[in-house]
Amino acid sequence: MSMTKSFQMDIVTPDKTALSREVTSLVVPAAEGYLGVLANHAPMMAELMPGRIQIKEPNGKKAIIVVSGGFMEVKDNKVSILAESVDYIEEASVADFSGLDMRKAEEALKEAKKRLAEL
Amino acid sequence: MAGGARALKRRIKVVKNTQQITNAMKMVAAAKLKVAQAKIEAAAPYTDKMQEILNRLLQGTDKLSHPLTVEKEGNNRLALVIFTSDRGLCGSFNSNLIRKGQTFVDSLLKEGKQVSLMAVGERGYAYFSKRKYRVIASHTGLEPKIRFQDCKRIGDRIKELYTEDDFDSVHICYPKFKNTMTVIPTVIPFLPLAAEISPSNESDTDYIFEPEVEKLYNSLIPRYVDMQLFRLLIESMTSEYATRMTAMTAATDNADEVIDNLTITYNKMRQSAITSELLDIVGGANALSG
Repeated sequence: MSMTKSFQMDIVTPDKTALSREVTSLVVPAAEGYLGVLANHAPMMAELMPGRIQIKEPNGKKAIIVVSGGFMEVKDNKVSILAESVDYIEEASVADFSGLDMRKAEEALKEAKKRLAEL
Repeated sequence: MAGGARALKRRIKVVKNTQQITNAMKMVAAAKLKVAQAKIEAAAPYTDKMQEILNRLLQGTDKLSHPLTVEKEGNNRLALVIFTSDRGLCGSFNSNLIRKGQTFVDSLLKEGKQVSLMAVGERGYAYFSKRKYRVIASHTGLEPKIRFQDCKRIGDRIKELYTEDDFDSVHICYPKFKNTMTVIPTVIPFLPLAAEISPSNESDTDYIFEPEVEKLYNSLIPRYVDMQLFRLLIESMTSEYATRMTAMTAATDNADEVIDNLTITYNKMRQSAITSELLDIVGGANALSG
């Protein structure tokens, strides 16, 4: 059992709470590049681009969530992610994302590039 | 006499069939009402958090502005989005909404303003497009299980009305949900957005903003508008199915009453037929023995 501290993370959309998990680390596609969040992170509000969120759970399990972009608030060891939609959730017991749906991932990438070009 | 009784019996059967239909529609409406109410609940974490973020961004700054929040110089063009249902059989739901919207539009027209309408729902579209009103867009086929992405198309169009088509303002006429028995047609100003900060929620948390507050605000506002519209849409759906349920309950109860009355009439008729038949028999017997 690792001693890494964990924190609560919720991904909510207007349609539902898509994911609510205890995680030890989190990487999100922020407006200015990927951004990592660990426990005890300073309070933050960030804009998210369409892309993948990577999470790691206390038991070592990893998952990737493809979101349409949105916002993230970090406060008091709680992360709230607002996304208009969650397009894809890929669970993996080890750090293996070979099963990731390439078409969806590429679509998200294309969208992200488009948004970057618009900046 | 026998023919009359048979006709009555047929009528009772017809009313019973109708009652079965209204009862089924009542149950469908109740189920859809539940779906709509669940949607409101499911959206709450998103909408509450977004409101919180907006409040925080607005705190302590008065420099923030977005094209959707800026009041415009009057060029006397206004837009009204009117929500109605696609189908009837929901009591006075649509006629109340249409009356409310029409009163609003007529008073503006009288002031010499130009008003364009966007109809969400078939009933409103059918009513206004057949009259002297200018209907510029319509959206139909919305269901209580509506997803946010579907509602975004409408949101995009409304934002376009304000930012590109040069309307001074966009109002929305929608059925405000008070409770299952009470729905109030209401006209509210929608754009420019009056982003309100609730002072009770003052937070002194020192946030890192990425990117800076202005950029965050500018990306948040359009999404905030979509979210507000989504909420109004689900609320309208809730009101629609609540009204539908009430109307169908009333129809079912009414059918009960009609059935009772018809049954009493039928029984009386049957009884008088028997009585007169008996009289005939007794009369005949008396004549024979007499």
